[in-house]
Amino acid sequence: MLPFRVKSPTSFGREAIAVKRVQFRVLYREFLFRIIDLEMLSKHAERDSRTLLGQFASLLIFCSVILVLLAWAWAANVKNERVPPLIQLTDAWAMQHFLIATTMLVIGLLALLSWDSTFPDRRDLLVLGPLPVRARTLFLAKIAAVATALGLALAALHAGAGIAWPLALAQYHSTAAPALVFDPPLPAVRASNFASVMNQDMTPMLCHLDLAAVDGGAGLVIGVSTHGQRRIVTYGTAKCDSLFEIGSITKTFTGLLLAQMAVRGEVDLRDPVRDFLPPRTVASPKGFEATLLDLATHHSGLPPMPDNTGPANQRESFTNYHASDLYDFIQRHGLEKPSNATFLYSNLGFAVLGAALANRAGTSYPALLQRNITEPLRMNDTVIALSPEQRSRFLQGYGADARPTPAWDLDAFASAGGIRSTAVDMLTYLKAQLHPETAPFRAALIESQKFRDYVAGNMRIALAWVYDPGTGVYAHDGATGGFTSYTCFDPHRDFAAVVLLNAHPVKFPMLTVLGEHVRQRLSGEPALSLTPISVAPAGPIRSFFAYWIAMIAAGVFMFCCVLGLQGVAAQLLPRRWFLRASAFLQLVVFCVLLIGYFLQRSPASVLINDAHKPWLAWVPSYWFVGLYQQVSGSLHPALSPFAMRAWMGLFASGLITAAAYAASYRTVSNIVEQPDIAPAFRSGRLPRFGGLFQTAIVHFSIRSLLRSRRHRIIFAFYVGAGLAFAILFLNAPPELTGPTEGGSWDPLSIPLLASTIAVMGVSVIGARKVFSLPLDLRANWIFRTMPFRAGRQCVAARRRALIAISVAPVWAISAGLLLWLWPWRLAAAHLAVLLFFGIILAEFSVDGVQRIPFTCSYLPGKSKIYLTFWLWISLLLFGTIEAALNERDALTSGAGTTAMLLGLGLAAAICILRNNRFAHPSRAELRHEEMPADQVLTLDLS
Amino acid sequence: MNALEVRKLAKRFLGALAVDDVSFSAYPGEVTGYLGPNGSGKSTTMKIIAGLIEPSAGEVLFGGESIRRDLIAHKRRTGYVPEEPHLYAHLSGLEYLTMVAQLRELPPKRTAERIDGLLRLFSLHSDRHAPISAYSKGMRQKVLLIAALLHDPDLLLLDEPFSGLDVSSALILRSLIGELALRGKVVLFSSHELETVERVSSRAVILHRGKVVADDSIQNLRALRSASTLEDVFSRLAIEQDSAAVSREIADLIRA
Repeated sequence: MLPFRVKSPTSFGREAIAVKRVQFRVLYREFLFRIIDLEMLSKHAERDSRTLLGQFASLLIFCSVILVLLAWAWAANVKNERVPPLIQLTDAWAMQHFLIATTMLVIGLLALLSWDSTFPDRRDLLVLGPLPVRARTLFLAKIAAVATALGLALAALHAGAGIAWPLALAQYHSTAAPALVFDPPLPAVRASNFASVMNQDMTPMLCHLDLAAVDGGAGLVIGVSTHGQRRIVTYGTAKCDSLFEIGSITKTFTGLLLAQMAVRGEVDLRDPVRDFLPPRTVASPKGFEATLLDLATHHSGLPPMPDNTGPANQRESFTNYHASDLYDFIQRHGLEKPSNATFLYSNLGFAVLGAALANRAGTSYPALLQRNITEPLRMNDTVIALSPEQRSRFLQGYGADARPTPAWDLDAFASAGGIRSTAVDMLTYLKAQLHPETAPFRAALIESQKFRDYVAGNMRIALAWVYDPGTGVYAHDGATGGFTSYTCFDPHRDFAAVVLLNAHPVKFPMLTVLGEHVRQRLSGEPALSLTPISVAPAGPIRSFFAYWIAMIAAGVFMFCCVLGLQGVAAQLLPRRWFLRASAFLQLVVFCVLLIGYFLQRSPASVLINDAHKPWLAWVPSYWFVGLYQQVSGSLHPALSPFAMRAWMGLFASGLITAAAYAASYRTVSNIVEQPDIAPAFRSGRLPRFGGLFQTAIVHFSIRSLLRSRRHRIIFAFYVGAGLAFAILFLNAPPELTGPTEGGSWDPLSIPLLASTIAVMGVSVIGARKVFSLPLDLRANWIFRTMPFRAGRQCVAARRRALIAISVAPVWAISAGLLLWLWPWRLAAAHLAVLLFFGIILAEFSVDGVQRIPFTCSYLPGKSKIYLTFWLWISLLLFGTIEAALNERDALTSGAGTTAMLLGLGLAAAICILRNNRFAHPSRAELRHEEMPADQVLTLDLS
Repeated sequence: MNALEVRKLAKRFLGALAVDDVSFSAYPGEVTGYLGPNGSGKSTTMKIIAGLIEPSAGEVLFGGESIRRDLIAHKRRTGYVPEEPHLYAHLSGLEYLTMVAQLRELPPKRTAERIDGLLRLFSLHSDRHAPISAYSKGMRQKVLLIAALLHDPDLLLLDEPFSGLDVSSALILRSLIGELALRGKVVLFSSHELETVERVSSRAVILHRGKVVADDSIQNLRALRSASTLEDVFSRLAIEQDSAAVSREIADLIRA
């Protein structure tokens, strides 16, 4: 017998319609307040549904407030005239993507929390089945409740952000931007055919650049060297022997000078900078001291520019800066290197380095450069100061306003950006870099190309050269008030390139991709098109509508995907299998959401670096960036296919969800007829955990966690968050994780130290949290009738359960990983730290009222979710990194390691003794909360 | 002698008196039926005797000593089958019973054999690895019975032990209760099946509105109340309504 009359009888009177409306309203209200799977949090928490939903809403509104603050900060930055329009544009893309990805994450998590409430379930049918409620009314109420919950979540998340961000995103300036599409691929271009390829590739760009439009005419020169062959292509007023300011490419020369002096034994890379400055310039710092190597890798902690240069970013702040100013600043600032110094690009640092090297050599920087590099390599046109003849070939520079700008004759900053050179000389310099064996200072060249530290992500830095492991290319760029430059070389594929232009990059933003295009052509990779497009932001009103349409579309898409997945699985699998697969699916979706969110990068960055990667087309958050731009009328051609995919994805996910609902409408009655039980299992033997009592409690805890879906999901939430943080740390820029000697996986790397600490911490906290969620309060009577007292054995059992469930697995996995990656001594030391840390956390978790895991009531409405959420985020981000930095400092010496391990061991022992003392039966009471008095009113059909 | 003695027991819940000045005794070698209508305080008394809840007044003595003096020792000697078969449904029957044995710190090897034997005798052996969530009400009741018997208790508190059992299991349990009493156990059991109580028990304590309204051997009760069956005795002492009249009223009301 079916519990519902799926086909309605013919009574459609007004009364019947009124009854249906009342039924719909009652069911809609009931379903809406039960949309979050409250049983996942507590089996007896129905009373707190309103409080809990209120807290979820407040959490989302709180997020919205944070987004509003971000919007203000971003809008203020965009108004800065100095930020090139292209950077503004890519920043706008990054923010659009961030907002869409965050919306998708939040809605995805909402869909997971309401996993069991989105389709009519067994309980709905058992309760409503005997009542004269049509299946159609039930389904409509369910769908309406789900849609309302989705709408409310979107509205709460974007309550403030939905106004602030559309206004902010309408602020950036219109600009010419790279099309970020690819030209037809070619085999690796050689020097011999480079001119013809580039002439063809450059045609659209040259039309746009209109070099002649600049007062007096701008000039562009591109020089390449492949397998010993050279080719130089010129455009506009530039000639092969034209002299350009090469700006910060100068730093690679300074880095090479340092390497030469180090090879000759005149300096050591680890020498303190202080030793090379005039006596009494600066006192020895108390902490770490900046070394020559720190200066050459931008890790000295010195700021980008000194504060005694006059107006920031003006020509005079560079040209009127002399050695006396430099020493004045150093005297005030000092040369202490922060313990957590990270990559910080510093012109000042290279100015100090140049001064230090010149002082040691007893000469000036220009003379040092001439004696050690330009003369041996016969680079006669590479100079700091121009001769009269060279001045005739030196091109006029053009500023951001396309008007002529005076040349930068640098003094103290000469070693950071003062060199002038020609394409011919630069190719000579690059040939030496490609083939050190042909140069008179081979060892120094090799030394200057060794990786020393990290820049961001996996980008490495040698002595000034930045190395990208993804492409295998060393590169550096430069800019002065009127010049732009770029150079790169690839020792393995034996090619090098230099691009020089006598105009400011703000005037010619397309040049940012020209260097990349040349590199891609020489590598034989798909090359970014040089065809520029014009991009303008939407007006505020259109931006507002586009914002909301994109966010709603992204949210609906994500919600429908999760619903569709669940619905399809429910239809395809037998119910018993589905019940088992359901929890697994939830976990998978959860992990995909979290990891995907943290791994995604800005669309601009991805389109430049990974545009040809096939996975790019399958990242939905990029689709909806395209959709936003399409609706706002600012669609970039590179995102056009994504916009189409967004519409298709939205349609497909909606269709699948509708089909799943329709199918479940037809098969709803089967749920009642099928057993809602899992198949039998023969569990493996678990080891003993001490005495019989402790063993019983630990076994009970392990089985409860493994077999209870809601406990598994909540524990997975914590562990997943820990893994997400680990991924974040491992991919984090050095600005966040501090300096490191090697990669994220190298010995004592801060990312790996922080990751293991974070996962351990989150795992213990997660286990403690699920321990406080009861399985079934009514079944607790068995513990109450058992002959044991609260006390040490109870604390010991809880401690062992925590360690077995959270500390031991994380420790074992960390041990496998660290012993594989690191020398065993370092791995063992960190594992000991990790173990003590886990034990201390576990002791804090067993502190307080004595309870048996999974037997105590927990009322979620009473927890301040939004506060604890942000508290833990902050603690994890900053506390963990700080702990990792301290641990790394301690592990670098034997005494430090011993002291730290002794300290932690002592702390762990004190915690254990304290808990044992307070667990004495006379001072402790075993707690089992009473069942709620009105429990009889709840349905409790499960 | 390990007699159970309940003295002036009272229990209040939020001001309402659930058990009011209840006193009775149960002796080894005999089965004491504990009867009363719904809400008369039977299960509350059972829970107090099992040490699950504390009385508001009065005391419970077992073997002449207050159970509150050493509650842990009392729990070691007591087997309790609660009214509702609430069990941890995610465990299998075998796992649940093993956990109970471990919590009671029974010797593992001997207890494993005992659990295995009891599972066979109660026809649960083939389902011992299935999760309790898959058990029927009767199967859960059997798990409760095994858990209560595992440690060979001196005092057996059976609150509605026949609930959900099939006929064959009910017959076995009926015989078992008698057998255990013969072996010197104190057996206190409550049931709404008065026929069963009459067959199994030698004494009966009848509760009404939290108070003891009768406490005697079943034979004496029948004689005193000039009743042929225990059901007659019960209906005279503990049932206030005229069942026939009430049933007529209900039928009239739903038709109106």
